[in-house]
Amino acid sequence: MSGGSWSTLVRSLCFIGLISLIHCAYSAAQHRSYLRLTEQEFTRLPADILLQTVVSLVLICYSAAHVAGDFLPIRADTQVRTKSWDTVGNCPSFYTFDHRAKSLSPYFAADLRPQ
Amino acid sequence: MEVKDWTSVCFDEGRSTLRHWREDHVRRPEESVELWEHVLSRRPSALGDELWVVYEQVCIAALDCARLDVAAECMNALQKKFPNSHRVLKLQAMRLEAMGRYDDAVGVYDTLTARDEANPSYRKRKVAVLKAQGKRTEAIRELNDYLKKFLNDNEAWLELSNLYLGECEYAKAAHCLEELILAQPHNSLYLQRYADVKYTLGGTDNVEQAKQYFLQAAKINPNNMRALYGLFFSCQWLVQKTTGQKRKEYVALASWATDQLIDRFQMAADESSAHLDDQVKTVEQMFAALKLFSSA
Repeated sequence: MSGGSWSTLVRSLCFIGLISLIHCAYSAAQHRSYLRLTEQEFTRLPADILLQTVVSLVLICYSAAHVAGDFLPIRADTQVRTKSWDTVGNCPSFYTFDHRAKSLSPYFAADLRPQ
Repeated sequence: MEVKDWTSVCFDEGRSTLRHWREDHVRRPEESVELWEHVLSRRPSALGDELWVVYEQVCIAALDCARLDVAAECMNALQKKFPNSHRVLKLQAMRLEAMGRYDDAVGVYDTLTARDEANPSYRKRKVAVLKAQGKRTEAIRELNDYLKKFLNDNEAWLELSNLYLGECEYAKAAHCLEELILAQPHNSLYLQRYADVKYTLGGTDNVEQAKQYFLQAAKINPNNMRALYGLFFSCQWLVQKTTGQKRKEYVALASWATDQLIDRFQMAADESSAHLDDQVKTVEQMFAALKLFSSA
């Protein structure tokens, strides 16, 4: 059952991180409106908001990666996989026309007399 | 491959099928001509700008199945639209080739090459003419000269490897396939074909390399049955030539290949309700024989 409880823990961490990030945004906006009201210049956000933003970002990244599941290798050949040698082995610039299909033509006059 | 009646498909399906065949270089000439005659030629204006590319594709397909009437119809339409075009002239030269007039066709290609030095397709057609006439050694020589100028033409390397295989020059064919693998290292079909050639060359080093390449091809595409069989047979060959610890490794690899083969057969049997028990039994017996031999 540890798998199930780990995944719920990770999901709740992700949720907490998101709430924390929204809270940072709201407090930054509030800070700016406070500075505007008290007619102070805006140079930088207070350190606690910055710290909270960075921590919640790291938390979200880590927990989202776990929620998404196992990493898969990047496949460079997903399209080529389904093709057979019939298509991949074709060289269209080198097609020649002197094969048996000539006999399928309605105008093919086969000389059937023994040579 | 199931046989489908292309005469009764709807216009959009026909159009997208032709586009799929054009982009993937699928060679199905009779069906292409059928699609054109029965489906697309009824409303050619609905194809828009794609019409001219479709004309070219149908023209080549018609030459392939000796329907010179359809080819002439397409070429007339293209000639009317693009009167002084080199591409249309190339199609006319291909028609001369299909009629067996090789000298005339080579004359046209020489004129086209003189007018447009940088276009590689006319030189390639000249090689194709030599191939059609059965002059394989000259074709190989011409293609080698061509590849000295146009080094990264994958199609030409593939064609050269096929020509060398026709002449039983396996080492040179392997070299051409190496160039292809350099260009597309994740293509399991090139890896498997290279391994096939190396296995044909024979000798412990070559078969060892073949085993490596078969393994890589099977890892990249687990559905590549030829790679799995190739892996099994190279391990079988190598088991006969080695002793001791190496033997165990080869048998382990062969066992992995056998398991993969049986899995694929069982998956295919589930999907298509075919009776593949015989294949599964054969593979199991092959592996049992190998195990018996290696432990003896």
